[in-house]
Amino acid sequence: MAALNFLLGTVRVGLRCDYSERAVNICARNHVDFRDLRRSPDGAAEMTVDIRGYMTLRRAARDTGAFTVRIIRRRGAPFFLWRIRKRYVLLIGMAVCFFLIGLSSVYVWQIDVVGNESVPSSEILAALKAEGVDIGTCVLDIPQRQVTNRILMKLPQLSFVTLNTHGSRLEVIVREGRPRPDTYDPEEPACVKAVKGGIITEMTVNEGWATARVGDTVTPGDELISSYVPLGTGRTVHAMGSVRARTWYEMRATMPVETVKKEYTGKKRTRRAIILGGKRINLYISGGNPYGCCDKIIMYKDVTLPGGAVMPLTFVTEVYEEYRPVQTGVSPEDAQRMLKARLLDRLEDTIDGGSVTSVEYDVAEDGQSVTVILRAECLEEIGAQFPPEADGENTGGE
Amino acid sequence: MKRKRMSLTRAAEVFDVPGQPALGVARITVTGSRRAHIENHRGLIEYGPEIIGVSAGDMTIKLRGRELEITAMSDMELVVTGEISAVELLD
Repeated sequence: MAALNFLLGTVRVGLRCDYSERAVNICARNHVDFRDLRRSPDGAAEMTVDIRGYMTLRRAARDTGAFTVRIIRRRGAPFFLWRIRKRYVLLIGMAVCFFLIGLSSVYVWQIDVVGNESVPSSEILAALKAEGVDIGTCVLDIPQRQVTNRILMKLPQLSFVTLNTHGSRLEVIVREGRPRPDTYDPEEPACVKAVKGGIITEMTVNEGWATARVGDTVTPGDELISSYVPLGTGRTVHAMGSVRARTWYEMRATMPVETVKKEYTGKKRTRRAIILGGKRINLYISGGNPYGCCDKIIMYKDVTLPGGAVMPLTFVTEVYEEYRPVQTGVSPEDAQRMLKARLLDRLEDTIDGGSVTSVEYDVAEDGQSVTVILRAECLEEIGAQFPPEADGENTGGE
Repeated sequence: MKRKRMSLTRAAEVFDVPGQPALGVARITVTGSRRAHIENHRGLIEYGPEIIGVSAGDMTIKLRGRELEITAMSDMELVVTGEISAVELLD
């Protein structure tokens, strides 16, 4: 609203009248839109009106003779332009500036990728670039349907792509396709095989023919429930069931007892640069790393106009913060505790829903590092469905 | 004039029709305590940050409060914003 008022221009006027309410009523009757009505200390009614309202007020004041109009302040582009009407160079400069802003708004200066989860944005941007859509591309030259179709063919993980242009910002909205779950058709024959080695403790066969029994020791790949049922003339089924087994794991992890830690010295150096239309212009002379050991933090700030239009100008700030590497020690007890917790977490991730029945740790220290070996016995599901083997090993177990 | 308006008001009451559109009776809508909308007014009588008086024909509407401001005004309608603490109707 403030921008619109600036563009149209506003006038703050004082209406002097014996009875200032009358002047306000005359304003209302003449359809003059006013705001910020106040009574000045001398009794005049002060209000802000647009230029057309001001002209109406002057005419009403002349026709009725009931009040006088005094200009307190003029604001806005029309008054500014009127003031500089004879400063030709400034006017030409402004016109050129507006022309350049208008021209730059038909080019892409920012690309935002939205909606991707597993496909990295860089991959999508690279695919766009290969199709000729990049920073600096004219918005009018982008064949949207063709580009989206080609990206979908190039990136099969995506199921939907659309390009939306907001001024000079290109928004790429993508949706990723959901991978088909790894299941088998219940009508198709399937057998259950061991995916881990162990001793079977519990077995429930819902469909199929058991080829292993409780107490058997199995290795990964062994068939547990066959798809062939040797009853009568024999038939093949989609084998289903649950096979739980005792399994054993051995895991190891090592941690050095001395680590390097950063100790910041407090020294900082800032360098600035601008990126104009994709070209970087450094605003510093000496390049390279200013310190031996330092963190480098880069911040980019795009220039945007009110309303969100992105300009082809980016300010770059690089901050170098010096640090000194300091050797710090970890006590062997702390290292052991951390390693044990880490190994147990890893084990629980591995058995995925199973339970740990017993666990033991062996610790080895050589002065420079601590090694922890975890040995655990677990109880877990070891069966998984697989298609029956092609060579027709449909032999009954028992 | 006043008698005619009274009879028209009674007629409106008898026939159970809203009198405001037909008779030009002022209508005041107060939204919360921050905004008042007055329709069919007859002009501003007084204004200031703490009181705004509006003529409504046979009565006067006075809005009291703090930081009162006439946000918009036409020959028929008037909008007042600010902290309105009281609306008075005076004969």
